[in-house]
Amino acid sequence: MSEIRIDRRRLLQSTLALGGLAALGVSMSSCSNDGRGDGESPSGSSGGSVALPTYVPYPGFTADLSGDGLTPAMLSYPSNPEPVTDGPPGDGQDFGAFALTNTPIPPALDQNQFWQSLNERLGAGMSVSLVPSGDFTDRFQTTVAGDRLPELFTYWPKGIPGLPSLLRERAADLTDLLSGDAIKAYPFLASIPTESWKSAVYGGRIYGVPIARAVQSTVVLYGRTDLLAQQGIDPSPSSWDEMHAMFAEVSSSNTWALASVPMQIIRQSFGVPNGWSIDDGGTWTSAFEHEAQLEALEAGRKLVEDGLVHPDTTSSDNQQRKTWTVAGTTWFVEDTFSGRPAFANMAATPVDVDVVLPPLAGGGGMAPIWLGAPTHNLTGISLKAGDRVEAMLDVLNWLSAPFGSAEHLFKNYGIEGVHYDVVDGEPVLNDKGRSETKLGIEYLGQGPFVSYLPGFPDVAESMFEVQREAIPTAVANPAATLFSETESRKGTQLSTTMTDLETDILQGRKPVSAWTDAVATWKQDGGDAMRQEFEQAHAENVG
Amino acid sequence: MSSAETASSARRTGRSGALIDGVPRPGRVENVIKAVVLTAICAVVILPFIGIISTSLAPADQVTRAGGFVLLPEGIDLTAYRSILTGGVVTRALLISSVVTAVGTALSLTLTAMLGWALSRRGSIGNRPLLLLVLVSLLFNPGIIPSYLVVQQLGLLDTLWAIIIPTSVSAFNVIVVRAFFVGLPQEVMDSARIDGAGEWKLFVHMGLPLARPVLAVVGLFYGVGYWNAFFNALLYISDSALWPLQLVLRTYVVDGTQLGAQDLGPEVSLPPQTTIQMAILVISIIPILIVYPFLQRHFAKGMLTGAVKG
Repeated sequence: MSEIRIDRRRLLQSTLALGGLAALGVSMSSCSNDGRGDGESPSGSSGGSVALPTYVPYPGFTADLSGDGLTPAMLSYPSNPEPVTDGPPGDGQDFGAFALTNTPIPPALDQNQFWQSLNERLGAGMSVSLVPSGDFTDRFQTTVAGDRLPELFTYWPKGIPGLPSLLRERAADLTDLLSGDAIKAYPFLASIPTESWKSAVYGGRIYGVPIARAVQSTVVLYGRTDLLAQQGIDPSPSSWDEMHAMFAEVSSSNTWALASVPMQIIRQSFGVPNGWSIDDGGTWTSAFEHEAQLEALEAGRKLVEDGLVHPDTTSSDNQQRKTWTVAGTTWFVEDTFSGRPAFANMAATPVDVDVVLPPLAGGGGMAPIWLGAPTHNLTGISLKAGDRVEAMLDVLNWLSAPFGSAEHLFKNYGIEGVHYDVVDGEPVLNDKGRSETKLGIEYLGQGPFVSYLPGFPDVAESMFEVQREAIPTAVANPAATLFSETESRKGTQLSTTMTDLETDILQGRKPVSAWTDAVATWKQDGGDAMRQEFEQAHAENVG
Repeated sequence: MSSAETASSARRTGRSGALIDGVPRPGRVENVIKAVVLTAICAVVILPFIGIISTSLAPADQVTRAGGFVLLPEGIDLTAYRSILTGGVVTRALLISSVVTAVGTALSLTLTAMLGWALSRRGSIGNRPLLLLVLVSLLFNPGIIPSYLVVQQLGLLDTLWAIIIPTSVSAFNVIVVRAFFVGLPQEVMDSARIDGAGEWKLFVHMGLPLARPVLAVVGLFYGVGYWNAFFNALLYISDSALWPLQLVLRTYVVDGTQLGAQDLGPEVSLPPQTTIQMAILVISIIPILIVYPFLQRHFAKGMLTGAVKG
């Protein structure tokens, strides 16, 4: 019966270990992993700079539309995709994966033809433990506490207290295998942009393979261009006042211009930084404390006061707001570039929706928009993989096969005739495909993001043109790829306090001036500590 | 019939036109106001239900046009139900939830009744410290990670027992059942004891039959609890093939990004997310709605148990 006895010592050890990691962010000497360095700063970057993997775009893939820093776009799926690998990756032994999902779970292996076929192609059995993204933190922390991370595991680059220490204790150090030119052994991983790899560095070592994003995570304002055209309105205002006037013009008793107060767009218009900004002297300023915040909040408050925002906005979710916009109840809605395809499937007859770029508030051209985070998530390899680390990287490389390859087609669409049908030359998932392919493997390994809207080449083209116009001046968040211990522990709580206040101000329950006091509290409660940690991490990375 | 009885009867029935049980008969205006108020209250309760069912059945186009909720569907469209039930994931989860609810409720009722009985018997060994221990569990929560480690070391991870055993005894329900047993007349127990009944016999043949109403209510609490629970399954079961219904359905509601709409082609028009959410609500409440009427007759009586005696 000894195997089911509660081991008091182990219970205490595990709890203390995790609590210690979370609360202090220091390594536990009792279970240290020799050769991984010593203690670290709260920024998790004391190990000094590391040579990031060399960026080598995969030569076998050419996008229909491409540009420097833009999301490459494909107008149609290449016909007759060829395999780009020779046989199964890895070492032929079974492995497990702890994978994120944003979709309903797929059928179990015994009822899932896609999964069975994937295992055949991998030459090994892959067991998947799916974690809904909304519940990730709880599940990740318990799995780590129980020392049950499988060979491959996904994790967020931020938001997990003590992450650098945790990775040092539980994850394989991939630096020697991926740093610099070593990445060339994995050509599909080498095509992941350098900016995304920055998120994989903790304590000066590489602990994961990124799932790259950036431009497509950028939030923009979509407008119903068909309705605007009917009214003869040109959706290209030259100042915030003109933008406000346009919103007022399209609002009536049962129609509102906006599905929500587009605070991101307003802040872009008024020149508030994207999260943080660094001045010439190297001082970091948070968007919260930026001088233009009060003007931006006042502009947002006025939209609500003038009745230009749907009255149910505070109790609605993004999906609901998009539904309003497709229905014409509202004309403008905020969403990311990658949120565009969903509009196409929301109505029997697709409606015309296009990006409306914000003007500088005082006039003088287009405001710089905020670039999204360069990394969606990372995939680490558990220390338990032992000498199978290279085999696991080979699997991740296979999963990152480029757009238009046979591997990519299978990974995303399954088997023709079973999971998808070819309609007008484009692969279209059927019911079985939609159900069986959602194994979370797109968050385990993925090549550079490609914008592809099957059946809507004109939309893909127009989105690309918008990016060509807006991305060159877009501003990135300098903290996006840096880790701050304070942010991981208190960031959500602190920003929720500020967001709640923002809602109160917008709804007229509190004056705009309340923001200033709240910023002082925010700084005291952790804002200043975050600034310090980001400054330190940034200096170490740059230096 | 005496004249007093006749008068009393007349008062109750209100045939005299003035009083009903000593209370003046309401006038017409008062009745109308009451009817309006009660109708409004009923509407507030019933309309959301109708809205949920209607939206889950309404054609996608109507839901989009309405901007979300629909009160009267223009037609019956089962696409949302079909997309949820495709692949057998939900039906499998339905079976798992049914097993967990049935086994869990039976186990919980057994343990709760036995513990409630033991704690109600004055003079039983360790009665007071044990009661204190039960009460302490109402005040202190063990936390996610310690609970996980205990479940792991008991070897329950990735088994359905992991979602049954940790929540099998609720201190609140134990207190309710104990209060009921404490309220049973001591004379009845004494007479049974004189007839030769031991403690076990007292419990099985006297305590349990008398406690049927309270056990029905507590059973309903446990049953609904097991049916609705998802968090423990999320933490303790990594194989999604063993996930209960609520956790599976939650992935549609919380994480549902239009079922991966970015991968779809122009030929595919998915049901709106609101329709899917409403269909999920319907699927998840139907089993409880079926069970509820069978337990309802015990409900009022059971709820009063312990209300005036703690």
